Amino acid sequence: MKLSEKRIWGREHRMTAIATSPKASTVKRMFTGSGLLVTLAVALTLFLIPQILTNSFPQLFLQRLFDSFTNGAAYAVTAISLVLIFKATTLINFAQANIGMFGAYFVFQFVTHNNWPVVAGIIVAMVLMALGSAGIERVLVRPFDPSDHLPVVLITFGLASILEAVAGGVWGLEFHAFQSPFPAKPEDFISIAGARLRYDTIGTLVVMFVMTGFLFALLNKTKVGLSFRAVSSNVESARLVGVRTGRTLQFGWALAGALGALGAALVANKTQLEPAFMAKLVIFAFAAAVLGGLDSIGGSVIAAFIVAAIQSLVTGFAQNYAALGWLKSNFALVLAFVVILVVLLVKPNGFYGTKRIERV
Amino acid sequence: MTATTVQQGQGGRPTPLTFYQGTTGHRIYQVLGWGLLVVPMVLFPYVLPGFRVSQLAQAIGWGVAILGMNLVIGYSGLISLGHIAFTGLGAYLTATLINESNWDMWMTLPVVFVACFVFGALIGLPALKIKGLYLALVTLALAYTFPILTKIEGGGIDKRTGGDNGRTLSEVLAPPGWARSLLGINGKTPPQQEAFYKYVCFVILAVACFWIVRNLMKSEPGRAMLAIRDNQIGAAVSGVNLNRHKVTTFAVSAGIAGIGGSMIAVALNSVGPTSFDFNYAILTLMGLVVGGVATQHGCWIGGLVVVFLQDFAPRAVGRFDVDVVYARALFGVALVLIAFFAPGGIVSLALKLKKKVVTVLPAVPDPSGGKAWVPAGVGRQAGATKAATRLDTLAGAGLAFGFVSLLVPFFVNPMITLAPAAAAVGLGVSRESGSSPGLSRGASVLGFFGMVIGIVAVLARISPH
Amino acid sequence: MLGVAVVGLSLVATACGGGGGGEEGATGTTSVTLPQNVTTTTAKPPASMDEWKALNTKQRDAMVKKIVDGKFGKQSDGKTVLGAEGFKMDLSKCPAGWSDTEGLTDTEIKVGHTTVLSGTLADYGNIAKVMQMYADDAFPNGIKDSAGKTRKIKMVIKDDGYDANRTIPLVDELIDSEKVFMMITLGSPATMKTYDKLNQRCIPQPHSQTGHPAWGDPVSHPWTTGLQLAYNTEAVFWGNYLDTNFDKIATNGKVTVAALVMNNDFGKSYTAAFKDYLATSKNKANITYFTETIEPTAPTITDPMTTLAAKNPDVFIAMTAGTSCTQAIQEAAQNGMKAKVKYLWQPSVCSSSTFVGKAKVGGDGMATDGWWIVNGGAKDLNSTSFDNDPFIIYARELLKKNGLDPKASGSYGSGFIFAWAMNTALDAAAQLPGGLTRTNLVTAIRHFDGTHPMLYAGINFNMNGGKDAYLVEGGLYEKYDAAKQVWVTQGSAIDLSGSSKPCVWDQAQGICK
Repeated sequence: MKLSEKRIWGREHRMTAIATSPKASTVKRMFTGSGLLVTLAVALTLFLIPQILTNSFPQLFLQRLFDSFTNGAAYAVTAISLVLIFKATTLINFAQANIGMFGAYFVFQFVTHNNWPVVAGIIVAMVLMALGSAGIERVLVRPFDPSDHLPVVLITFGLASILEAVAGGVWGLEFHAFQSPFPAKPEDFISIAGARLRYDTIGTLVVMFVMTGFLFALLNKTKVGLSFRAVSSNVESARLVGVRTGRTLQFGWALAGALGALGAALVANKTQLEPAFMAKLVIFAFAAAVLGGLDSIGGSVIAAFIVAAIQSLVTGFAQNYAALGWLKSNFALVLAFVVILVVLLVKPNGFYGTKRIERV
Repeated sequence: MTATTVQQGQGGRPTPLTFYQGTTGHRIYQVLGWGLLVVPMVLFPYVLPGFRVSQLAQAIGWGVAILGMNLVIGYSGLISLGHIAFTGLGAYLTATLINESNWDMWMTLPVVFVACFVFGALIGLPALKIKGLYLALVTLALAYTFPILTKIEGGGIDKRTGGDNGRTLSEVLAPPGWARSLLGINGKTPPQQEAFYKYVCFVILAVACFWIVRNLMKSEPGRAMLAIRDNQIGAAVSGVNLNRHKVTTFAVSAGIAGIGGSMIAVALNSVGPTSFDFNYAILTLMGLVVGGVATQHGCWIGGLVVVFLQDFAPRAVGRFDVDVVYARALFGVALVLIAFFAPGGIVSLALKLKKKVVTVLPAVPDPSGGKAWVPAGVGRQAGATKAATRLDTLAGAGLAFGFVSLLVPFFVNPMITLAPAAAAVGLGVSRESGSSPGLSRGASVLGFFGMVIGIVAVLARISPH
Repeated sequence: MLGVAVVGLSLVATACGGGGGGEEGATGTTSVTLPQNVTTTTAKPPASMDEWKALNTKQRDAMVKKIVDGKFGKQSDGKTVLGAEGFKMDLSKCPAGWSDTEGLTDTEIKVGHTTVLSGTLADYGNIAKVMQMYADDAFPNGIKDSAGKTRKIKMVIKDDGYDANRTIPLVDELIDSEKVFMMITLGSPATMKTYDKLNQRCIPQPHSQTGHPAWGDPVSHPWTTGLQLAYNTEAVFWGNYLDTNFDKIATNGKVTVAALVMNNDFGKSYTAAFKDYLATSKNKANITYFTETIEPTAPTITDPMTTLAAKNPDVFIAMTAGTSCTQAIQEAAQNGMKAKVKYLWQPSVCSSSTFVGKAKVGGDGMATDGWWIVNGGAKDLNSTSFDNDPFIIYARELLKKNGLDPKASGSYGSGFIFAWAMNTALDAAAQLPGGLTRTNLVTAIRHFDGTHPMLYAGINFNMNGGKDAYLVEGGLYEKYDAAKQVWVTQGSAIDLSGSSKPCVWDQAQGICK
C-alpha cells in the first residue's frame, strides 16, 4: 500500500512553501496567484506591443481599454453576487443571473409604468430581491446538505428556468429599452486622446468599487461579517460558538439578491431588457469567478477585468495578425475558456481562491 | 435485472407478497417482472405510429448519452455539465463520416468511441485538479463553446458541420430485406420501416453499451470509482490510484456519450448546433436526475425525459389554456420537485415501492435434510466466481470473433482500421482490472461490441437494400 | 434564418451565390447588377376591399386559364406533373399508398404547421395565429373547388421552439398520424432538415417562413417553395446602391465597407452574397470590405463595433437580427461611427418599430435617424402612411376583432403576408380541373401571378414553372425619419421578377449548385 496521501497533497504543500519562501525562484513564483496574474499581464502586453507601435495607437488602444472597463464592470457586478453566495454556502447559485434579471424587470415596471425615478426603482427592486432571495434560501436551499452539490445545482437550475418563464409570461418575450441610472445619451462621454470613456461606464465602475469596498468593510469590520466568515469557514464550529448559522446564510443570500438586482439594473441599458439577458452575460461572470477564485471577491473583480480585456483587446487586435484572422469577437468565450483551463491546471482554486483542506 | 434487486429475508413489516426463491411463485414473479419490461419494448414499435417509434429511437440515443454522463456524475461524483460536447462530437463525427466518406453508421461507432475517449481523457486531465463546483463551471463553459466551435469558418470545419443549419445525413439507416422479413414489417411504409429498424438497432446498441458500463462498474475500476466518490482521500490511502481512475472514467464516459451522439444523429438523420447546446446540457442533466443518479436503469427514463418532456410540456400547458411561455417553468418545477421528493429519481422510487410490496426470501430449508441451506452470501460468491470464469471464456471468444468480424469490412473499406484500435484500447483498459492476465472483462466487452458491429456491418453490406 | 419577421424582396442571380459562408466556392455564380432606374408602371391600386377581391379573382382566373391552356398540372397518365418552362415532377417516385388528396375531407383542409410558440423567438408564432384567423375570416364557409366540395382550412400548429431536433418528429407526426394535406415550416434549419423527406414523400411544403435561397429549387425539391426574397439578394440591393452612388460615397476614390455579421445562416448568407456582388462590381478595386462576427447569444456588441468603427468606414451594414439590431443602432451612435459614416444599413428583418422605434432605442430615439434599409416590399401594418390602405385597415380591424393589439407584435404583418398567400394559393388550386389536390396546389403556386395586398404597389408576387422559383423579387430603399418615427421611401419600388436563377443547394459546399 502506497502512502498516496503524500502524493496528493505533497505538491500543494510545496507550493505553499514556495509562496512564502523568500528564496523561491522566479519560475516558481509564477505559480502563485499574483505571479500568475503578472505572467498573464506580461503575455497580454507582448501581444499588444506591435499594436502600440501602429499609428492608431493611443486612440484605438484606449478605446478598447475603455470597452473592457464597460464589460469588466458588468461582469464584476454579476460575479460579486455569485462569489458572495459561494462564500456563504460553498454553493453556486445558477439562478443568480435570473434573480438579477427579475429585479431589473421590477425596475422597468416601476420606471415605465409607475413613472418612478430610476434610482428609487432600483432601491425598491433591491429590497424586493433581497427578500425574495432570503425566502428562496429558507425554502429551497436550507433543507439540503451543502456538501452534496447536485441537489442545489438542480434546484437553482430549476429556479432559473422558472424565473425566465415567468418573466417572459408577465412582461413578454420581446426586449425593452432600459433606462440607465447614469447619463447615457450618445454624447455623454469624456474624450481622452480621441477615445470615448462613457459616463455610464464610469458610473458602473464607481458603483462596482463602492460595492466591493462595502463588502470588504461588512465582512471584515462588522459583527455580521464576523459570523459570516465563521460560517463560511466551518458551519459546525460556528454553530458551536453560538453563531445563528441559518440567519447568517440567509443574510448572505439576501445580500447577493440585492446586489444581483443592482448589477442587472446597471447593465440592462447596454444589453436591452429581455428574459434571457442576464443568462447570456452570466457565463462571462462565471468565467471571472472561477478565474479569480470562487470565494474571493477581490480576485473575481480582477478576473472580471481580465476576461473583459481578453475579449476587448485580444479578439480586437487579433485580426491585425495574419495568422489570427479567424479570431473574431465571437471567440471571446472560447478564449476565456482556454485561459481558465490553463490557470486552473496550475491553480485549481483560481488566482485568489482559498484551498479547502479535506480530511478523511 | 431481477437478480440485482432480490431482497434477502429482512425483518420489519411483512409485505403483501412474499416469495421464496426457487418456488413456482417466485418463477412466475420473475417472468412477470421481465415481461413487464420486455413485452412493451417488443410491442411498442408494432403498435405506435412511426413518428413515436422514431422518437423512441432518439430517446434511446439520449439514454446512452446519459448512461455515459452517469459514469462521471453518478458514479464518480464529479459534476460535469459539458458531456453534451462529447455527445455532439460523436454526432458530428458520425454525420461527417457518413456524408463525406460514405461509411455505414456501424463503421463510424468505433471511431466515435475512440475519438470521444481521447477527447474525454484530455478534458478529464484537468478534472484531476479542478474540484467540485469549479469543474461544474469549467464544463459548463465547454457546453457553451461547443456550438460556437462547430461554426468555425475555415479549416473546412463549417463545411463539414454545415454551420448554423447543420447537415442532413446522406444515407438513412434503412432495413435490409432480411431484417424486414425477420421483423415482419414488410407491410409498413418505408418511413415506418426505417423508424422500426432504427429502434431495433438502437436497442441492441444500448444493451451493448449498458453491458460495458455494468461490467466496468462490477470490475476493479468501477469499485475504485465508487470508493473515490465516497471518500477520495480514504480511497487514496487504500491504494487506489486516483489520477488514473478519474481520467479513465472521464474518458470511458465520454466515449459512451459519443456513441449516444451517433445514435441521435442517425435517429434524426441530421445534426446541428442547436441539438447539442447549453439547453440540451441542462435537459440531459435533468433526464439523468429524473431517471435516477447512480442507478443502473435511470438513464433510459432520462432519455425519454429529454425527448418527450419538451414534446408534452407545451401540449400540457396549452390544454389548460395557459400561455406556452410557461411550459419552460414546468421544467423548473420538475427539477425542484425531484430534488426534494425523489433525490434518487424514478428508479429508486420504484425500487422503494417494490420493497414495500414484494419480499423475496431464500429457499425454505428442507427439514428432511435433502438440500443443505446455504447462507445467501456464500452461494452468491460461488456463483459470481463461476460466472466470471464463464465470462472470461466468452470474452476470449468474443474478442477473437470481434476482430475477425471487423477485419471483413476492413477489406471493403480500409478506413475501418480504427475499429480494431478500439478493441486495443479495451485491452489497455482491461489490464487495469487485473482479474486475469491478457484477456479480461473490459476487453471482452469491447470484443463483443466489435462483434456486434462486425456482424451487422457485414450483413448490411452483403444484403440488398 | 431569423428573418421571418419581414418578407424580403428578391432579385438577381446571386440568389445562388450566398448561403452558409462559402468563400471561395461561391464565386462561381454570376451576379447581375440592378438595372438602373427600374420603375414599374402599375395601375392604380384598389381603393377598397371589394376592389381587391375583384382584382384577385380576376388574377386567379387568368392563372387558371394559363394552366389549363398550357395543359399544365397532373397529366392524364397520373404519373407526371408538368408546368411552364420545363417544370416537371415524377409522381411514380412517390411512396406506395401516396394519395393526391390526403389531408382533405369533404369539409376540411388539414394544414400542418411547425412554428415557434415558446422560447426567445416565440413572437414568430403569431404568424400562425394570423394565418388561421385570416382563413376563418376570408373564407367563412370554406374554399369551394371545381369538383363541388367546400372545405374550411384547419391548421394543426405544433411548437418546435426553433429547435430542429423537435421539428423532425413533429413533422413526422403531422404527416404520418395527422395525415396533413401540406406542411409549412419556420426557419432555415427546420426547413432544411425536413425538405428532403417531404419531397420524397410528395407532400407540398409551400411558403416556408425563411429567406434561404435553397427553397427556389424546382428540379430536386419541387414540392418546397419559399415566399420572401432570399436574404442574400437583399445584399445585392446594398451593393447596387453602393455602385450607383459610388462617387458620392467615396473618400479619395476609395470606399470602405464595414459589416457586423451574426454567426448564423442568416448573417452568413448576407455577407457571402455581398462579397460575391463586390467581386463582380465595377468598383471592386476601390472597395475594401471588413467584417466582425458576433454570436447570436452575445450579451453586448461593444467590442466588434469598436473594431469596425476603427476602420473608418464609409458604409456600415448590420447583418444581424433580434436584439443586436437595436444594439447596433445604439453603439453606432455612442462610439461616434454614426456621425462619420455616410450610409448605415439595417437588414430588412429589423425594419419593425419593435427594433428601431423610440421605445426600443431609448432616449429621444434620434439614434435611428438616417439609417437605411431595403424594404422587402412589405407594408408596415402600423405605419401611419397606410392609414388609408383598405387591406391594412381590414387587417387591423380583424386583429382588434379577435382581441389583439396590432402594435403588440412585429409578426402580425408577416402573418397577413403568409395568410393571404396560403389562402389565395389554395383557392386557385381548387379552381383547377380535378379540384383541390396536392399536385394542383404545387401547380398553382409554381404558376402564381398576382398582386399581394400586403406588398407595395409595383412589386410582383409571381413564379413561373421551372424558371422563376421565387415569389417576391422586388423591394425599395427607405430611410428612417426619427422625428416622425417612420421609414420614408426613397425612390420607387424596384421589381426584378424572374431574374433569380433556381438554386440546388449543396449542403457540403454551402452554395447553390
